[in-house]
Amino acid sequence: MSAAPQVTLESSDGEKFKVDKEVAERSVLIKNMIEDVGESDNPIPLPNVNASVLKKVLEYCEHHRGDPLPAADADPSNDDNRKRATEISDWDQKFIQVDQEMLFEIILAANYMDIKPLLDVGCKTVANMIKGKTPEEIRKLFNIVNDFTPEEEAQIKKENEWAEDR
Amino acid sequence: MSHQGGLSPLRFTTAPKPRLIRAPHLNNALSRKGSARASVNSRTSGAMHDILAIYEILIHILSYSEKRDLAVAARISRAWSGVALDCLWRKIDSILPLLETLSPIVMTDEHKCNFTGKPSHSSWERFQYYAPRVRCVNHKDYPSHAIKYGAQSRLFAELPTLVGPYRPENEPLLPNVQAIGWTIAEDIALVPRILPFISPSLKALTLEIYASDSEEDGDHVRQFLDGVTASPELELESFNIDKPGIGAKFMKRLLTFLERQQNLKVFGMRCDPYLEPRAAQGMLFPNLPTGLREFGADVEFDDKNEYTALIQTILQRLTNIRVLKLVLTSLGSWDLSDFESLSPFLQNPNLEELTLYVSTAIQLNTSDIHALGKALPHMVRLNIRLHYNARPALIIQVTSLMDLAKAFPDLQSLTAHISCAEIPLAPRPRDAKAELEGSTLSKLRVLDVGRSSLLEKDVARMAEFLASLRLDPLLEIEYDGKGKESEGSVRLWRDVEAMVKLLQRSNSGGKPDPDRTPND
Repeated sequence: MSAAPQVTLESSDGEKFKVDKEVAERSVLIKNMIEDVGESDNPIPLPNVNASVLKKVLEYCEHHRGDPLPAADADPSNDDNRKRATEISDWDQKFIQVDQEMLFEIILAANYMDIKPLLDVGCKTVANMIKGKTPEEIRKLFNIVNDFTPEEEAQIKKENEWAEDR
Repeated sequence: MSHQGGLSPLRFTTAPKPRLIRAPHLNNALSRKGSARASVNSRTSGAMHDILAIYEILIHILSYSEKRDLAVAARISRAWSGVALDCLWRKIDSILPLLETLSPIVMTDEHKCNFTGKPSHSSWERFQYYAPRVRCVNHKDYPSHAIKYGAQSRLFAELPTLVGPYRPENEPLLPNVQAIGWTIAEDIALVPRILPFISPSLKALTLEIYASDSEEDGDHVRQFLDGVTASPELELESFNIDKPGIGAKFMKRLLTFLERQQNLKVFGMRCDPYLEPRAAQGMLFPNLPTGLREFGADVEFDDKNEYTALIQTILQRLTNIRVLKLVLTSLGSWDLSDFESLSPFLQNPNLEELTLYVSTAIQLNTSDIHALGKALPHMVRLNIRLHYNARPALIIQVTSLMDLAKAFPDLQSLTAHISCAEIPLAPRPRDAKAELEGSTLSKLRVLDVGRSSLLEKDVARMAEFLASLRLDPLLEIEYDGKGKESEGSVRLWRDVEAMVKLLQRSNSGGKPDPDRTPND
């Protein structure tokens, strides 16, 4: 049985993960690193991702290993791409059912490792958490301090009321 | 409790956080503990998480939010507000909320509205707080808006006076706008009043006008075109104009305008074939800017040879053309021989998308599909629609999908009426999947299953058939005809939706599921 080429990733806290190259290359950061450095047996350090998060990220990459790569020219500011909106596939939905701290760490890691589909899933999940809530509920949810004066907040509300119509 | 976290968007960056470097031999022993501690230590518990202070991430999150949620997010904190307002105001469906920051607008009677006063300096500042966030305006007639569309003309007439005391001379009101779409309708005097919104940053302009061929209407449109042409920095990439009340005089202005736009890649002009003289069209086509990549127009001729000659002219002149959209009116029937006569010109390696609006539907059988594939060998997107109602006008049997994928090796998107009268009872042979492998066809834009002729059992059968094809997992089926009146057809459409879901599921199930293979 011919083994698929593998690479070793090293988390910030020094844990090593041996995975198929194909799986690791779901991360554009790693793909580029392998292209630049060439294949080697040295572990690839990921100083921004700890082991528990990396494990989770690799679980995602493993599941999506065969997916077509997202189009490089997909423009995030393009509205059509965006409004594809808040639907998340069943598997991804289950995968992302984690506590808030882990969710944010996954987003951070996906951003750093440049795994766009995972970043999308994470951000959509946060967007869904916000949906339909009041400002105060969102502040509570994420521990955000309101640094507006009541007058300022009222003015912003008034100027943007048009958006609540539809 | 102190909540100090992340009020300023500049406070946190994506730069690596300092971490302890461990000696390699300690790795295994420390890994579990280390990982747990690292994530807890990354922030003070009880404060906002770092990522919510990173602009790029917050804007990514909010890009999935709907408008009402963005309006809410804008009230959360200063840092959130800036990001949420960038999202919310990036693309606006009406320019009025922006104008209302200057002064409230009220309807005075059925047909008139007014600014209620002169703006103060602080309201000008509010205007400027929002205006630079606007990238795209699509100002249309929305029946739900309180200020009636027909009554707005006067606002735009008053606007220059209103902002006069504050606005530096000729400074564009929307400094960062990139796209403007404006439905002018019959109020042609409004056309030149849009000029203050045109900024050098503008890349795409779409005007929907219903001008008559009267001198008066023509003057307004010419005044606008001259105004835009006079802006030395403006370099449009895309310009679309509908029903401009085209005449020979206008056409000269238009050509001067087009020449000026060195970066113009997209140009479209819809005309009313009954109003607008062909002579003017005749002036346009041989003088189109040669850099165009996308061109769309209405064309009216009596005989097919004229169409063919015209398409030839366009394709010979526009060597960079990638997308061609033509409305061929008064064309009795369009058959395969017409495609074949165009074949030498359509074999332009750049041409990716051909959209034809025709008057009668074209039904293709398997051999037709192969002939069409020969005529349009590089087509990536092929859309043939019925003029006026935009329904797909290319009829293909569902069983011919396989032939289609073979005949158009590059085809990614197709607008066609997929007819399913002949769905085979038995599932497809096993090699069906193998045949389609390597095909790029990933998007059937409109799957129009002709509701009147479909029974529920047909839908089920079609679902089964499509599932057996195992097309690319990206296959995305769009279909029109949602929201039909009768209960029976509503149920039917729900079945179609279920079918699409079934198909998507069967696609993702069609590949090995790594979740089930244990990994060691």
